[in-house]
Amino acid sequence: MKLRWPQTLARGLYGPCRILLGAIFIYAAIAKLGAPQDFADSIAAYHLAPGPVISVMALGLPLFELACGLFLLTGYFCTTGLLSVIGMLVLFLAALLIAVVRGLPVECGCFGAHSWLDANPLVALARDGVLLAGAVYAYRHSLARELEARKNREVRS
Amino acid sequence: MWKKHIIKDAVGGWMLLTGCLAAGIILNEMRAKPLPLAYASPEARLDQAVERLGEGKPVPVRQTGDVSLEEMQAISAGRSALILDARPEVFYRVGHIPSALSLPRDDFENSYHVLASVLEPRRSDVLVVYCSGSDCHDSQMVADALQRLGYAHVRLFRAGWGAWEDGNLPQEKS
Repeated sequence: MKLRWPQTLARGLYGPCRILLGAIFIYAAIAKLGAPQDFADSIAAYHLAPGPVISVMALGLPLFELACGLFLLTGYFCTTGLLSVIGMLVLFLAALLIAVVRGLPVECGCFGAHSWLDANPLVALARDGVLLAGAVYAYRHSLARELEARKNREVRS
Repeated sequence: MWKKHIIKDAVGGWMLLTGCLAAGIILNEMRAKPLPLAYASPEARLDQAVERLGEGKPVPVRQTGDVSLEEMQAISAGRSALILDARPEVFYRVGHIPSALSLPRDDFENSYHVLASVLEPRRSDVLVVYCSGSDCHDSQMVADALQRLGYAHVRLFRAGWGAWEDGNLPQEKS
């Protein structure tokens, strides 16, 4: 029997990747849910969002992260959760990149204010880049699985 | 087929985001201390806190420059001035300069009320404020607020906790 390592590896990586992403987003959400004022200050430090939007984002984004994290962890609405995570990571990366280019002294704020995980913007950029690569890989894999399952159902019926 | 799925996920994600933003606003109203929907910067919030505490009578402010690390060591050892830590309280609890009291910028009003019995009789004494280091503005903001409240002799230890820690100097935890 011929072993197909790339496919086996891809299948083996999908589960841990999804669960790790889910756990990270749930942790990030919980860290921010209790301190919306600190998160609002972190968002304001980027000088990107207008005043009235800052508080709404500070109140809603942690819930969005929590919901997406739960989708990823449980496997329900997984592709929706993964695409949302990709969207958030693209947004965070763009905001961090703009802050670095402008030379703003921002803290990432990704895991709440004063977090031991808070890093300088360049480290946060690298970390978000790795997470984005993982999310894109997991989304592609998840979508392929869903399409294959659908095709099989159609063939059977 | 892929395209259709991606659009379906994007629409689902957008609906989820809208729902979470709405839920965030509703849950905020149930908090003991809701976040004001009109965002105010830390500077504006400190201004409002000083206004609520009641600005003191204008006092002649004595400018005697910043406190150096060596001077800070002497002040801390001799208890010759009141030392105030402007960092968030969580950092104060982890470690602070011996004899320093916590007056965090991010909870100025409540902490000022707690320290009022210690602070108010010492309006003409020397107060030294510090935060995490030369990059942080919390000590400057707290010093300005104290001066507006009628404290005449507020000095800054700009090098802050970073320099104190780097110097392996004694610490207190609480």
